[in-house]
Parts: sequence; structure tokens; C-alpha cells
Amino acid sequence: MTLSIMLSQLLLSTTAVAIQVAGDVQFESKGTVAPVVRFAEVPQGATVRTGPDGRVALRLPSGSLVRLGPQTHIALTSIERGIPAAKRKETVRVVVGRMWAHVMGLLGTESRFEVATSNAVAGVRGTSFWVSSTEGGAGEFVLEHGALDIRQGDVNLMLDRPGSAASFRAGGLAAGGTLDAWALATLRRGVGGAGASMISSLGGQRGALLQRGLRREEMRRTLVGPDNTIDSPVTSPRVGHELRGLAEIRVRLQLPDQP
Amino acid sequence: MISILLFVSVSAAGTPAPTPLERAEAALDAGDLTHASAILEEALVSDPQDADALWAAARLALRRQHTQRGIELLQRLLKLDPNNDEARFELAQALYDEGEQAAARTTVDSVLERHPQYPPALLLKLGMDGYIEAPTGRRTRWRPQVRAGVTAGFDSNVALDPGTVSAASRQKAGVMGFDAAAVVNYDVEERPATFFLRFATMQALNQGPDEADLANLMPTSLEAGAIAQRPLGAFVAAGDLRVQELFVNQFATEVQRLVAPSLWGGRRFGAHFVRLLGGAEWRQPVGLTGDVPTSLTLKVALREQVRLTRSLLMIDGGVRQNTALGESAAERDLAVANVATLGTGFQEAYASIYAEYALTQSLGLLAQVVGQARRFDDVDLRESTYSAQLGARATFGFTEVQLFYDYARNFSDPARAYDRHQAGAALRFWYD
Repeated sequence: MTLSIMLSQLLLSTTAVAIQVAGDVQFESKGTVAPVVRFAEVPQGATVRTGPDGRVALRLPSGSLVRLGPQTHIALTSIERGIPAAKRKETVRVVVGRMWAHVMGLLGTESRFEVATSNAVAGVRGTSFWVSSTEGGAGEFVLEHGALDIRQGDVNLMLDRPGSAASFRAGGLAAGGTLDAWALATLRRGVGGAGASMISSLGGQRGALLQRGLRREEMRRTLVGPDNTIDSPVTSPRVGHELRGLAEIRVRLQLPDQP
Repeated sequence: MISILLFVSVSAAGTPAPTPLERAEAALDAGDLTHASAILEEALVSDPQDADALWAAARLALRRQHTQRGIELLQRLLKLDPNNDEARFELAQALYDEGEQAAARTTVDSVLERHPQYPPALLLKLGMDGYIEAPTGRRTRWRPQVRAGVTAGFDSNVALDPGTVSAASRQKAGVMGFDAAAVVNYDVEERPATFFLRFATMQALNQGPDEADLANLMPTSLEAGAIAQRPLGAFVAAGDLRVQELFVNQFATEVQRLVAPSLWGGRRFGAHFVRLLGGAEWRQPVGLTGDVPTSLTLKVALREQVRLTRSLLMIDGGVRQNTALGESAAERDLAVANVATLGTGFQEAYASIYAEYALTQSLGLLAQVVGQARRFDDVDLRESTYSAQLGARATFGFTEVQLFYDYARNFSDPARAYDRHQAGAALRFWYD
């Protein structure tokens, strides 16, 4: 029994799979440089670089996903997978550029997922976030959801509100502001492209619950929105011209574009 | 149209053509799920192994309640991306929603095998085992909503709309309004429908020189309506029917009854949506406005809108023709004798530009300018009205606060001409 577990652990994959590739993306492993093609395996220890028009999404064996935006350079420092998949040790080093990571929950105290930059390290237990880093070593973490524990030397900073940000540089780690939904959408599109943006906006079970604000916005702008009850296509553009009373400045209903 | 010019100028600038996924995203942003779905399906024909397109298409199919299609797409995706535990959970949920219990159980077990503490999978598993009510990925089709609003403000000239209320002195007033609506939505994507009942009232906070005058200017209305929509090829068509009873002095005096059916159709052209609408409004005065005849207004209008990430621009232009019905020559002579109260027998052309800009997700600015020109043939009267509105809105969950200022100026016969300032604040909320 013990032997079979040991064998299966030995056989467990320690490679990431490039599930989405666009533009120029290359990886280097053991001195060999090769272009990353779709569904190619990128081994532990490899570095991945994207060109000015390059984007790549790497699926880790644990189910976590990292997306690299254009002109990004990372190293898959460690991909250790256990049984079950939630038990693992994964470390990604961001040398330069911008990366989004969606991290499946960890199991057990030994497990960890870390994102390291030259001046800060973030530990997560189940979250998604962006990290960017410049060649000078400055950069930023932005939380999408979940929580992020950022360390720089002895200094710790916890991000736990969606959109909250922290910036870092050599000898400095500071909490930033909170990005609104549009800024997050811009980040999402910039790093992952339109596909990642759509996957996120369509949400899963969790997304449907979390995006209540967006759902309200969607509701207002569709046929079934409550504002529609005061937007008759027959009346004059100004309600005050039709009925005596206070003019209603209202967010006029966007006409249903399609069902 | 300004927006068309903008569109042409942007296109001419050599912007790279959007990729299929970018086009699908734009359609999705505009709420055009059918179009987004069609683009994604097309993209999957040319590239069946595009994992992002597969996942987006699967989620979109599930959102559209095309569960079987969603299942097929998720199964295809998982063959390419087997470690996508989120997608595997979504497959389990979709299978469960389709009543495929055994397959759902196997699938959720495979997720929990890899991630024993993955909360959505745990919940689904507990639901399958009967410990809790099983979560569902399905959306309910019938969704009731309640909305209400309170408005308070200042009106420099509440005595307007001679077609509705007979002559009254022009008064300044503080006003307060309340409206509430009960709405039921039939939320099916291709054929959504809305049914609603709405109550609205506006009351003066102060008294004019003649108290009765102000009370008789303040409207209270009850309205019932139904709106339904369906696709017709590349177009979207919709029908809208409203019936309204209008009172003044709360419910003391009934003023008029309105029946307003309309039809409209629209089509998307890239970021633009163009809609042509035609409608009628049958207005039967009752009680207070005994000297105003029943009238029928026909309207044809063209609207174009452009939605960008943070802004909405809507341009609207149309014509309206109002005809008095069943009125004798003597009655008409009597009606036209008092130009101040003349409200029927006109032709009107109007244009409006509405713009909305969101500073943040919860804070937005609004502006609208409107120009209207009316001609009353019977009395050879021509009048024009110009107005501008500025506003801001802030949303907090299901509550919205609005601030607004509105100025209108009417150029007409001295007995009718007016100007009007209105300013106020409104608090609106809804719940579904």
C-alpha cells in the first residue's frame, strides 16, 4: 500500500499544460528554448516568456490556472503535486510583466501556492488575483476574490476585499486603493484576453452569487428591468411634457439589443 | 448621426478587426446573449480546440438554459483540459439539473476526489444526499420584482400641459412624489416578457394662492402594462401595451384614460443598435377636462444607441400626429378658441440626445437635451420647446439615489409660452 502511494506520487505530473496560446510565447527548460504551442507541457523549472502580442494560459496539475499577459516572463519554480490534487506545493516567480492566477483551494497545512517577485511574495489558499512586476522590481498585487497574504521580509499585508491592491518595490510594501469592477475588467481583458473576460463575466455558481451588483446592472438594461415600467416608447422624450409633475431624470432604459 | 460619424472615424483609423472572441465579448457586454452565442459557436467551428471559447460557450449555454448544449461543450472542454476542476463541477451541476443523477454523482465525486474541500461541490454532494436542498444552476423563469421610489424637489411652474388640465395659474411649488410598481418578469432569453402594475403620485408641499389649483395640478396615476419581445431573424421585435388612469387631487378627480399600444423592431450593427418604433396613444379625457376631446396620437421614431464601456449615447428622433376624435365642428371651434388649453390636433417633430457616463461602477452622470416643434393647424399655431436635463446617480446595492436639474423653455403664443426649472432628488429601490 505504502509502495503504491509512493509510486503514484512519483508518477504524478509536475508539468503545466498550455491550454490557451496566442501570439509569440516561448519556454526555456534545461537550456532548450521552444515555442509554446497549445496543449504543450511546460515542465517544472521552466521559464515562460510572452512577446508583445503573446498570451498564454497554463493549467497546473492541481487545477489552478495562471494567465500571462503580453511581455511577461515567469518561472515555474516548483510544481509538486500530491494526493489528492489539492495537496501540493506550487511556486511561480514573476520576473517581469503581468500575471493572473486562479488558485484552487489548498488542503492541509503543508500545502502552499506562492507567487514570488523580486521584492514580495504572496501566499494564497484559494483565490484569484493579478500580480505585475517591472524590471526595476516594483509591482502590484490586485485581488479578484478570496484573500492574499503578501510578505516582504518581516512585513505582512493581507488583501481580502475584491479589488484591493498592494504595491511593492525594493524596501517597501504598501496597501493601495480598491479597483472598481471596470478596472478589474480591464485587467482581466488585458491579461487573459476576451475569452478570459467572458468566462469570468458569465461566472460559475460562485460568480452568479458574487456578481450581484453586475446582475442588477444587467437587469436594469434588459427588457425585464424595472426601469422599463416607466419607459414607454410612445410618450414624448420628456415625461414632464406629457404629465404635469416633477420631471423624472431617470436612467433611460437601454433598448433590448437582442433577446 | 454623431455616433455614426464616430464609428466611421474609428473604423477609418485602421483599428485591427476584432477577433471572434472580442466580438462575442462585445455582444455579451451589450446583453446580446444570442448573438454572443452564435459568434462563439462559429468560432468553435473554425477552431474546435479553443479552450477559452469552449468554456465561455458552455457557460453561456447554461446561462441561456440550454443545458444539454452546455453539457456537451463542458465534456468537450474537459477532454482538452481535464484538470479544469471548476468546469468539471459545472458539468456535475448541469447533469444534476438535467436529472442525470448517476452521472452527476460520478462527476462531483471526481471533483471532490481532487479537491475534498471545494465548497460548491460539497454543497452539491450534500444536496444529492438529501442533507440540504440541492443547489441548482437553473434560473427560475418567473421572477417577481417590487420597485418603489420617493422624489422631492422644486418646480418653478407646475401648471403645464394644457392638453391634460384646463387653465390654471402658474405656480411655484415644492413637490414630493411616490411611486411603486409590482413587476413579474417571464425571464426566458429569446422571448422575455414583463407584466406590471404601477402607482405614482405627486403632491405639492406648499399651497398656492388658490389651494384648489395646486391640488388639481398634482397627478396620481394607476398603470398596467405588458411588454413582450421575440427575435425575428436578425431583428428583434417587441410589443408594448399600457393602460393608464390619471387622476388629480389624489383620487378625487379622474382626468383621463390612456391606452397605448406600440410595436418596435431593432437591429444591431456592431456597437450600434438601431430601433424603429411605431405606436399609438388613445387618450380619453374624463371629468376635469370636459372641453378636451378624445384624441389619438400616432408616433413613428428612430432611435440609435451606442454603448461603450463606461458610457451610453442615445439619439432619438421622431414625429407624432395627434387627431381629435368624434368632435363636432362646434366643439372644435370651442376648443381652439382658448389657445392656452389647446391640446389636440397637432403635429410634432422631436429629437433628443441622451448621454450617460459612469465615473465608477456606482456613480454616474446623465445629460439630455431635447428639442420639440409642434404645429396646431386649426389655429395656425407653431410652438417649440427646448429642454436640458443634468443628473447624477449613485447606486448602493438595490438602491439608487438620483439628483437632477431640468430646464425647459417653450416658445409659443403668449398664453402658452413658459419656462420651467425643476430640481430635486430621488431615492429608488427595487427588490427581486
